[in-house]
Amino acid sequence: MAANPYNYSYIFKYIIIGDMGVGKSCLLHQFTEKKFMADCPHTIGVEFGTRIVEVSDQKIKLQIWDTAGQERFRAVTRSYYRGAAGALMVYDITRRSTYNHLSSWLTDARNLTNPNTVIFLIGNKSDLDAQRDVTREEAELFAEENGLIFLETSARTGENVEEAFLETARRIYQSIQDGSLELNAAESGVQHKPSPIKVGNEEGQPADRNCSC
Amino acid sequence: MVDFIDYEQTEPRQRATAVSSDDVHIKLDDWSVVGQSTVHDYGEDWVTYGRETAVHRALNQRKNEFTNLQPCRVLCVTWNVNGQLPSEDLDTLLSVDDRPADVICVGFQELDLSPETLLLMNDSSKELMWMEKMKAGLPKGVSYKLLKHIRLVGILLVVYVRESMISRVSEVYIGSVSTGIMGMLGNKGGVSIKFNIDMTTISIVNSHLAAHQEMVERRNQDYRDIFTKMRFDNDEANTLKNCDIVVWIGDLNYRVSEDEITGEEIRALAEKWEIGPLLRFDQLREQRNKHLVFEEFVEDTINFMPTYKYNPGTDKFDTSEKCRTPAWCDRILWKSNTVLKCEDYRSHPIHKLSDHKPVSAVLLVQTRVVDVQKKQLVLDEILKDLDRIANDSLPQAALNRTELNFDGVKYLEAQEQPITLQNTGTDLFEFEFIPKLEDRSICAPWLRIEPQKGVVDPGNVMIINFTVYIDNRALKTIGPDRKLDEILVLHLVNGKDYFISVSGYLVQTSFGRKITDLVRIPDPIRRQNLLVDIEQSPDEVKVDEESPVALNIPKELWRIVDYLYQHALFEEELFAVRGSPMDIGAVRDAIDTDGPIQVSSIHSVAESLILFLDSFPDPVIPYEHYPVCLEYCTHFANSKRALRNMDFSHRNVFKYICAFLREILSHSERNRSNAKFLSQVFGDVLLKPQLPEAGNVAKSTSKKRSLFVYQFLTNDYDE
Repeated sequence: MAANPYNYSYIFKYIIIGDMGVGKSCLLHQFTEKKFMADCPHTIGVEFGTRIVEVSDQKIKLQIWDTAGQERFRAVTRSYYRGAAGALMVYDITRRSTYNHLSSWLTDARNLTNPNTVIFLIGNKSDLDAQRDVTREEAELFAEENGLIFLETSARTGENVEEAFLETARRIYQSIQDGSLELNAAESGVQHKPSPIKVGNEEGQPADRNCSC
Repeated sequence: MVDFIDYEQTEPRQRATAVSSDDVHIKLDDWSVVGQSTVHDYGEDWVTYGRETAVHRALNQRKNEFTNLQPCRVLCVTWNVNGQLPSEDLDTLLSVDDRPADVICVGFQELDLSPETLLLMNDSSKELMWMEKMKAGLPKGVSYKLLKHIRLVGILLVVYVRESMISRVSEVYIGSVSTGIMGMLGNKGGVSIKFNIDMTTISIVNSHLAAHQEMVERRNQDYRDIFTKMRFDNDEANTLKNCDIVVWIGDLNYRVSEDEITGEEIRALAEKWEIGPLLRFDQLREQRNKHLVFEEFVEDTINFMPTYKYNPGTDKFDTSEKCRTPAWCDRILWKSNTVLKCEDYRSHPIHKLSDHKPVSAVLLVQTRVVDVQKKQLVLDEILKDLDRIANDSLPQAALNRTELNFDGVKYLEAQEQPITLQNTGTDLFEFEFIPKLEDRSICAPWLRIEPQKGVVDPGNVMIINFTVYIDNRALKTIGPDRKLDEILVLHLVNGKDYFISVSGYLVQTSFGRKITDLVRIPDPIRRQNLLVDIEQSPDEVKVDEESPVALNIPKELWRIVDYLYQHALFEEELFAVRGSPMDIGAVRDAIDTDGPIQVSSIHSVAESLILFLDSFPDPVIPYEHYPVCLEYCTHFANSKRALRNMDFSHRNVFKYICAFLREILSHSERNRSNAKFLSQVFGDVLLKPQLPEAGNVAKSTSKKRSLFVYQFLTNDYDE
C-alpha cells in the first residue's frame, strides 16, 4: 500500500490561450466541473482551476490558468505563460478569424514558454458542425506542420475535453520520464511531490507569480 | 481429509500481502491521528497533506455503501491441560456441532510444566504433540490452514482458518505479555494473535492469570497488564484497543468466593448441580459487577458445572488432600464494536485427562466485506468532490465593474471613481494589485489606488478608490494624444486575477507643453466650450513647425506674469505662500481659454507661475545648456554668453521672468522681497538636470542653480 494512495505526486501548470469567445473558460469548466457553462461571461483577467488526474498510475494535480482572450489584454496575459508545462491553444471551428490568429498565439506560446512545453491545439465547438468554418483536415495539417497535438472538442457536450487535458498530461509525464523535462526547475511548470513545500515561485502558486520577476 | 498446509512457513510480511484481498485497506480508528499537519500559509494545506485524511474520513463515513456484512463463525476453546500428554482425541472439542467453524482458536494453559520450559523457554515436545493432536481433530470434510500459533511457556494459542476464507484474512500479528514472577517469567501471562477478516480486526487473547482463592486483585492486575501492555509486531501503536473484536479466553483462575459461604457448602451445591446459587459467589462476576476488571467485556450465561478441580480421569471434584473448592476458572469473554452473538458456551466434561475441563464458545461475528467495484465508485465520487471543493474554496469575488472611464481629466484636478470588490465565497480572501510583467509599479504615475491590498471577509464589500491626478510628474508620462490607458491586475491571493481597465484623456492644457510649441500658438489652446465635443475630436491645436514664431513668449506666461505685475508687486511673501487648488484650476482654465483670471488669493497665481514654468518638458534653461550654466554660475559674462546660445523663445522666457523678478525686487522696501530667496525658488524651476541627481550632488547643484539666477536678478540684463 502506497503511503499516500489518494494524493498527487506532481503538479503541472497549464495555460489556456486563444481568441476571445472560442470557449476557453467553458473548456476549463467542463474539465473541472463536468458541466457546460451556458452564458459564460468573457473572462476579464485570469481564471484558475485545479483537478487531480491519474496518468500512468501517477496522481497529478493540474493547475490550469484560463486567460482573457481579448486583444487589449494580450500584453498583460503574456506574463502568465511563464512556467507553463502545457499550453492549450484554442480556436473556434465556426469562426475562421480565430483560426487565422493561431500563428500569433503560437508565436507567443513558443517565445514565452520553455522548449519542452507541450502545446495542444484545440478546435472547439465541434458540436456546431453545421456552422463549421475550418475543416478538420486543414487544422490537422497546421498542427502537423507546427508539431502540435490536435483534437476537436466540444465544451458543450464534453466530447474530447477529458482527452485533451489528459493527453497533455501524458506528454508532459513522458518528458519527465525520458529526462527532457527538468523537475522542479522554475521554468518547467512541473513540480514533484512529496518535496518540502517551497514558498518560492516553484510552487507555481498565483500568490507568488511575481516573486522572480 | 484435512488438507494441512503450514501457513506459517512464509515470512510474516509476505503473508500479510498474500492474504490481503483489498489493497486499499482501511483502518477504523486511527484516522483522526493521520494528517494532523501544521497549517501551511497556503489555503490548500489540506490538499497537500490532508487530502489523505479527507479521503479516509469520507470513505469511513460512506463505508456502508460499499461494504457488506458477512457472517463468520469463530470457535474458541480454552483448556488448562495440567501438563498432561494429549491422550484423548479432540474431535468433539473442535467441532461442537455439525457446522464446521470458519475460524478455530484454541488456547491451552499449563501445556508444559517442566522446569526447562519455564526457565529456558525452549521448544516444547509437548507443544508438537498437542499441535499434531489438534490437526487430527479439526472438523472433517473442510480444509483448514494454521494461521499462526504462539506459546509463552505453558500458554499456547493456535488459530486455524478455513482455507476457503484465507484470502479474506490479512494483517496477522502476534504479541505476548508475562505477568509471572518478576513480571518476566512466562508461567503466568497472556499471548495474543491479531488478524483482520475482511475489514474487521480481531484479537484472540489466551491468558493464565494468578491462582488461589485470595488473589483476586492480583488477577485483576494481570488482566490490566495484559490488556494495556500487549503490542503487536513491536509496534507501539498496534494495541488491543484498536481492535474491532477482542476475544479473551483462558484459565482466568477466578474462584467461587468463600467469604460468605464455606468450601464445604460450595462443594455440596456443586455436587447437586446447583449452578445458579453458586454463580452468585463467582469472583469474576463480582469483580465485573464492580467494574474492576474486564470492563466492556461480555460473557454468555454459564450453564455448565464448575470446570475445576477434578480428579484427573474422572468427573469427580477434587478429593485430594488440598481438596480445592470447585470453581469456574476457565472462561471466554469478548468485547466488540460490531455485531457479535454467542451461539454456544459450554464445558466438555468428557475430557478427563486434566484437573480442568475444557470450555468452548461459538461466536457468530459479522465482518465487514468490501465490494471492490462499489468502493471504486464511491472513491471516484469522493475524489471528484474533493476536486470540486478545492475549486470552490478558491477565493470567489465579484467586482461591480472592471472598466473605469475618466472623461476630461484636467491638469491638477483629482477625479475619483470607486469599484466595489465583494467576497462572494465562504472564506476570507486577500487581494492585492500586482505589477504587470516587467513593470515595477502597479500602475501609471497619473493613477492612485487606495487600498492597494487588503482582506475581505465573506459577504463583505471593499470599496477601492481609483484617483486620476495629473501633476507635472505624471504629465511627462502622457503622450501627445493625451490618452490615459492602463490595465491593472487585481490579484486574489491563491486565486484568480482580474484585469481592470482604466481609460480617459487629459483635457487640452498649456501646462506641460513645449515653450517652442506654445509660442507658435497664437489662439487660446482650448475653446471654453470645448469640454463638450472633446471626446469625439481631441482638440489638438495644430503646431506648424515651419511657421514663423508668432510670439516672443507664450501668451499664457504673459497672462500670469501680467496679472502678478498688476496685482502683486507690493505683496509680501510672494512665492512663499501656497495658493488654493481651486484658484490654480481657475488660473489654468483662464490661460487655456483666454478667459479672465479670477482668484481669491494672489498667491494662487504666483504658485501657478511656478507650476507652469516647472511643467515644460524642456526647462526654460534647456537640458543641453544646463551643465554650462552651472559651470558659469558665478561668471556673469560667460553666463550671458551661454544664454545667447540658447533657443530664442527659451531665452526670451528666461529674460522675461528675470525682468519681472527684478521689478519685484525694486519694490522690496514694500514687499520685503530679496534676491536670494527668489533665486533659490526660481533656480530650481528654471534650471533642471535631465536625470535625477543624487542627494549630495543635488544640494550643491541647487546652490549653483540659484547663483546662476541670482546674477540676473542683481544685474541688469538686456540685449
